Amino acid sequence: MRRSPLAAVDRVAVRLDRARADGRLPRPDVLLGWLVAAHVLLKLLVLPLVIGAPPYNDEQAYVDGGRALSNLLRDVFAFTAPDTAELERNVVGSGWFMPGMAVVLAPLFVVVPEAPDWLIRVYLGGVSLAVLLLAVRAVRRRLGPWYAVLLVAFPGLVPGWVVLSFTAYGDPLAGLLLAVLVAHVIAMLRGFRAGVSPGVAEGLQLGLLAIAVLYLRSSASTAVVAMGLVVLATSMVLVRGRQRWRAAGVLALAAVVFAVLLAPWSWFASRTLDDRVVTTTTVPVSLANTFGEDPGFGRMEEGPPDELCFGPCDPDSTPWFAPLRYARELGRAADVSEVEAQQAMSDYSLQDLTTTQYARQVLQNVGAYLLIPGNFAFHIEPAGGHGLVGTAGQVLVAGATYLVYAPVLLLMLAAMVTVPRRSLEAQVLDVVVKLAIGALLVQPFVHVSGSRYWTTAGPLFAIAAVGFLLERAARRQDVVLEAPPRASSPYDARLSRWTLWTQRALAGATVTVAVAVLVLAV
Amino acid sequence: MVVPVLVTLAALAVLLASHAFGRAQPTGDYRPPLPPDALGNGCYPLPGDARLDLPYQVRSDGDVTTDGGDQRRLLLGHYSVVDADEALARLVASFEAVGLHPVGPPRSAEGSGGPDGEVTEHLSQRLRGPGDAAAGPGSPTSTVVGIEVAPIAGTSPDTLVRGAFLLDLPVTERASDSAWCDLPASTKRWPEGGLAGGPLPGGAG
Repeated sequence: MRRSPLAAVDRVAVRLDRARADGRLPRPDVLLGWLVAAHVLLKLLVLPLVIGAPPYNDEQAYVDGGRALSNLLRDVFAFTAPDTAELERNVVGSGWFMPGMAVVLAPLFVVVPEAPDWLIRVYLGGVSLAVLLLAVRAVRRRLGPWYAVLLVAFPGLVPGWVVLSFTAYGDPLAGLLLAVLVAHVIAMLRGFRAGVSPGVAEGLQLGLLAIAVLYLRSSASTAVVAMGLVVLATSMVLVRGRQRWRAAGVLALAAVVFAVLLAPWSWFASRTLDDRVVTTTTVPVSLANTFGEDPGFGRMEEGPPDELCFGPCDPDSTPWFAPLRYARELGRAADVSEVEAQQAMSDYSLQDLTTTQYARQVLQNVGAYLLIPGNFAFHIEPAGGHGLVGTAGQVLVAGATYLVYAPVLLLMLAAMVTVPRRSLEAQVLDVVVKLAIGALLVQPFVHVSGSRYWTTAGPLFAIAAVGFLLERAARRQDVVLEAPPRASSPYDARLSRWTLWTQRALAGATVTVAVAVLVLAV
Repeated sequence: MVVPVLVTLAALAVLLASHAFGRAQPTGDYRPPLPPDALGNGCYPLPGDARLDLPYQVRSDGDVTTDGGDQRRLLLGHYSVVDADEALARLVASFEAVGLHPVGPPRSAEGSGGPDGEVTEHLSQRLRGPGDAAAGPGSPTSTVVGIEVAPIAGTSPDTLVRGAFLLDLPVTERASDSAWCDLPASTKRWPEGGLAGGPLPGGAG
């Protein structure tokens, strides 16, 4: 053990664990207060770097969506007809984005219709702080104060995350709410272990959290579905008799809340684009953009793949807007919806895709997803860039991001292939967190990835990383529970079997997928 | 209990007063208006104002100098839904409708090429205006129209877009002051002189 490459990790883990056990660490709530203060300080330090930055790329769409939604509220409360065309153009647009961030921004534009860029940045920074504090409170209540501390520390003290917390991108907020959703699912499982059905309030919260995550980031839909399946499966396995019927009712309520809140968007987006749109329309073209003929990062700057528009796309536009124009023209000419046209384009351009090309691009995507966490420090800047001091600040932010992020990433990756056994509670947390991370990491397999995507999974990375540390500490101190862990009830015995099986399957799947992609890419 | 009620009331008051604050101005940048079709914007009409009676998209349009030194207008388009035979028939009919008539039967040639070296069949047809039929050598050929049609490699009857066509036309002057005529996104008259990859898949065009 002493010579293992994990020795350093073990030393840190044991030291932390003993410090905690001996009461040498501050009480978690005191620590929480200090960390929140540090987070706010970090935000104030980063603010000067981003305050002069105009909307960057897709932020424009979210900000315009917020403006249009504020006009909708204005019209509704003035009892006049809303400007449907404006809503269609700015909220739905091409159906690329869920309207969550537009909803977040709308109150600002209700009060200040012509809010300048700096006010938008300050407002977004305030909203993300509020959401972080609410998430911390919710996690504290469900998982205890140490996990609340963890959430403030990571991603709250990651400078690159703080930069993104001033942007109109939904990724960081979706990540925070996803962490709360995971905590909520854990709390529900705790009830299932006692054979008790969750209450109506818990069902409502489940539905609300799930739909909020989806509105903020449509690509998190896989994780939302995974959480829903976990709750459904465990409740049906663990809860018996009348309680099971109650549990089924509560879960149905959560599903209804989710569906009812999703429906207005799906209806309006479908109506606007004249096709069935449940969440967003991006998958066909992004698949083609990502994996089409001769893909690659260099090319994304030049234009879309050569075959995406049944030949080259118009040379005057970008990889996203050129195919969109072709799809709209094709829709107009052939009397189909642009969504159907995009599907046809995607199918055509991907028909010759080889597994090698695919695997290579997946590797690039995974790299972009996981390995450039601080890049947005360079994107969110004033028109014309920063001076010397500002540029130094950007470099510092990006560098410091790596320092904080890299250890967590490595520990998370180690956790993904480890099966913890120290307690049933820990196992359950581990399984749920890994399922959520695994579901999020489906994205690089279907979509070109970028340096902000990790923020949706970031809080879960931290939970997984700390889980790995705790497991190492437990093993070093020989407090490992025998496997399968002692079961305190028939429910626990059943749950233990399921979690162990799932954990092994997850670790195996992670290794298999990683090896398969690597082998195919070479 | 008091605080939530007060907050709700304050929010309601703000909302009821909000129309007095002015109106937000979304840019709409992420949903640019779809430019009108290159043959529907009135900028560079076809001979006789012909309307193409098939589902098509213009991909590029521009003037070239032929080997013989003439200036000709070449217009590349994609057609959807119908197959090559019907596409040619419909294109021919579109020009017949404005008084042009075919010269000889449609011709067929094998064109190699496509990204995978597939062999595709190119169909072509020439048409003339009413006054040109009896004209001898040296007469103006300005109303001669050449049509060439070929399936796009890799498409099948299930594919929405089926093929490409190339119209060989007399040079057309700009016929409208519309601002669209200055926009390549609408006219498809790209500054560089066309899309990369040759005028017609298969390269025979």
